Amino acid sequence: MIKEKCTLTKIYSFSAAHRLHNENFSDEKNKEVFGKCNNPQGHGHDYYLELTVKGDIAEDTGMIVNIEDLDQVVSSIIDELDHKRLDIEIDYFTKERASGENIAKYLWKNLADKIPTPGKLSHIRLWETSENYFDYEE
Amino acid sequence: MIEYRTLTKRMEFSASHRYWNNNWSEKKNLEVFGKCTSKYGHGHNYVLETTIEGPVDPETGMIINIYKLKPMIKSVLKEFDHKFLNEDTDYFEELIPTTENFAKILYECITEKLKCADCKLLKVRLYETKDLFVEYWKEQ
Repeated sequence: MIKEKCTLTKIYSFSAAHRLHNENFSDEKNKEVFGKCNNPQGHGHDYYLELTVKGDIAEDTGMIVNIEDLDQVVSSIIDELDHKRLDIEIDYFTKERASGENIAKYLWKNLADKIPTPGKLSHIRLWETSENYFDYEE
Repeated sequence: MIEYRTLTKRMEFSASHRYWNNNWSEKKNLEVFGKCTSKYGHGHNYVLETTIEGPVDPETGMIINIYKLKPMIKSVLKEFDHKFLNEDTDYFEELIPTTENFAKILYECITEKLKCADCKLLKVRLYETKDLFVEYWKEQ
């Protein structure tokens, strides 16, 4: 049987600072592993979050997900990170390294069960710079 | 061994639309669709990415000749370019012209026009704005 497939992707942005550092490593090892990302004063990025939602197109709205509702949900999560020093100000990243991989995972964990129905979170792509991005899905 | 590859063609066009469900009250329409209910419509510069999949012809090195593909897509888009989707086309009398439904209609129109022995339309990606796009395809 042929089934139609549809996804909707919206791109959001936020800016944040971080420092990659592991307290269990020596200063020398931190520098060796994390390089310039270990700068004690931190450094920042303009992050771009590509959020992909999948689902059936609802007949009465013609939508997988209402974008205004989606914007509200995503804003509530990324506003907490926006203009923050992640590894100091956000609890999760005081325990986990604020790497692109972990930020993408954090966003998935915080967004997956909040996507307005009938949409379902399908994929997250987090751009840290225009040259590197991190994909995450469960 | 036959090698299957994909080719994607991007094309831009502009159209206006309005979201409105006739079975709902004005209040409910406003509640669900917000400013997209604006009476005379509003517009976007849409970008359509059409992805074709097929074997590479050893004689031409191509899946499909873009000289044939481009006018075919253009002939589909002609129906929508610089039009008010709700009023000027036949597709959206019942169907609400959301990006999701518009992508579906474009997929169907292109599938119908694609006269290609071996290749097929794999998917369409329709950008409504730079930060919002919908992908539509079919699976077995």
